[in-house]
Amino acid sequence: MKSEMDRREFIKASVMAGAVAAFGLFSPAAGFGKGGKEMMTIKAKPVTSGVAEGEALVSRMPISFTGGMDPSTGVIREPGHDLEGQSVAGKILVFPNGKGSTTGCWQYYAAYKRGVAPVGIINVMAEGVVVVGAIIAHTPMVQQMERNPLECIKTGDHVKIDADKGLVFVTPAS
Amino acid sequence: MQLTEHERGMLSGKYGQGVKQAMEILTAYGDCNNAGRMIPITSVHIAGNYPVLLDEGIEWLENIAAGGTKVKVLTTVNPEMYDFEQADALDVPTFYRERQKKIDDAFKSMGITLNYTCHHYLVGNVPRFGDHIAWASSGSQVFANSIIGARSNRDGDHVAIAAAITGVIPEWGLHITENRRGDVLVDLGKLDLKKYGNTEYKTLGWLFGRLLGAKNPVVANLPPDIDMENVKGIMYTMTVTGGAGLVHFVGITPEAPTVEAAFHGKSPRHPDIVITQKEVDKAFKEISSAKHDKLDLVIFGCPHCTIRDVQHIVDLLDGRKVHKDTRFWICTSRWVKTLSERMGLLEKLQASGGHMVCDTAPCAGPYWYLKKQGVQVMAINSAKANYYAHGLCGMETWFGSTEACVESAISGKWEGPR
Repeated sequence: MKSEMDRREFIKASVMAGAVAAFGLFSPAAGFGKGGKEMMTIKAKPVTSGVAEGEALVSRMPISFTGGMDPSTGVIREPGHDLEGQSVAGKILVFPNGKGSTTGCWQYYAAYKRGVAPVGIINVMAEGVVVVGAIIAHTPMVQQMERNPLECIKTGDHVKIDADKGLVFVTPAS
Repeated sequence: MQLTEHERGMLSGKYGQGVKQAMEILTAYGDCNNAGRMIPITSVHIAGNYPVLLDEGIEWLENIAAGGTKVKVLTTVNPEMYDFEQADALDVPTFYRERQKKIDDAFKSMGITLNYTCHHYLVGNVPRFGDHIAWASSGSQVFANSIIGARSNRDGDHVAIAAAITGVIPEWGLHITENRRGDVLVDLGKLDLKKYGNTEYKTLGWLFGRLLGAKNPVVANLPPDIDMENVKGIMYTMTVTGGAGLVHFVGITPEAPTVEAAFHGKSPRHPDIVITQKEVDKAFKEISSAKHDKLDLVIFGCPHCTIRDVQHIVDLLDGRKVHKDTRFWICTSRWVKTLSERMGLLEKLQASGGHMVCDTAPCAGPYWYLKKQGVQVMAINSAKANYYAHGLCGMETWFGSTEACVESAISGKWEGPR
């Protein structure tokens, strides 16, 4: 499947340490955001609409919402996952892409209704299950940022997603 | 995406809030996958079992159904948690019955056909070659692409429901001819396939998923007279360990009369994969998860048993009684149960102490209430059901042939290879 292949290639390319080189055209606009730290503004492709902001939670691993996350607490429970034991509730969740059962959308929706879903999602490359979850739960979501989100966003950073304009604002925590 | 006037009308709310919601899902999903337009579909199949939907999912369903939302094409449903006509006999908790009734009511109001089987293509939901469809059930989706030549992506339930309501789906992925081209050749030439039975083919499927991920494999050297149940064994298992949507079985798949045709006359994108018996043997050992030998349950029907499967199991029982501490379930569609009754197979099964259970299946989570009844260790002839029963419901599972499962049911402990 061509698009699937492209997607995997893209993810591979972006996850590589030299991601900035892969996006040679990148030049984030600098400004000052919350707390006086230098804020980056980075373009991204909108997946859904709306605006969200909060603290970033960054994973370098794909996430499955069926089995991988407790829909009552938002806690990642996949053994060996780099977010194992951490809750996605209220976070701007940054991760490469979704994986696993297509029923993940139902689990994500249940988490949203129980108030433990992320407030916003940034994927390196979006995949169907997460996309549909974000659509039905009205979660602002973007993908394909001009700079690899796994490189330029750290857990704890303050992040604002404007999925209407296709912009991500990142204020480093330190 | 380019939408037609009618599609724009659906998105605007002109045809009701349910249609509007459905169109919003499809346009966002299409945009994300770089689809250029919507295309009409002819068939939809969805899952609707409570452990997947949860209470919030029921609310979502009731909400999209509100105001008289109807499906536009034939839409069927996967198995649920229990047999509706044997709920008392099987001691199904009221909690689950109440929730299932809500799901049923919402589906019924939308005009969805409540067949509750994963063999929907054996009971009337049969697309034609080249049809665009939305089947949100991984095993049958691969069957549709690979055996019928209909075109379905690995859509989730929400996309499939939205497609059923609007009658269209974004054109991307396996709906497009170019994307159906084979990616990699799988060479089975080193295996002695003459000795392969259903269990070996399912084990092969387990390995396929691991090795192939979401690539479109081209499988050469299958015996020309291979039983279709063995081909299905490969397909239904490989979707557990991988994400493939289309397998080109050379000589079987309509789009793969030859290896060259499967690759659209081009070179494979990846080096050939040669499978050895050593790898298959290793894969077999990965599947079972049980630690204890004493069996609480022997269950068949993933996918739902065909009438041939029922006949085979009853023949293997040969009038013998299953162990008093071991439950023996054959899961199938209500249609096959009717046939089994007519053919005297049901009576024989019951005389041996077995049950025929409809509307539910080994992947649909009957364990949530069976566990409370003391069922913990089970045996099944499906690697797929084995994986989900263990991974989602925490059952101890043994995987083996139909023969091994029947013999184990009689002795009450696992008798198969491990």
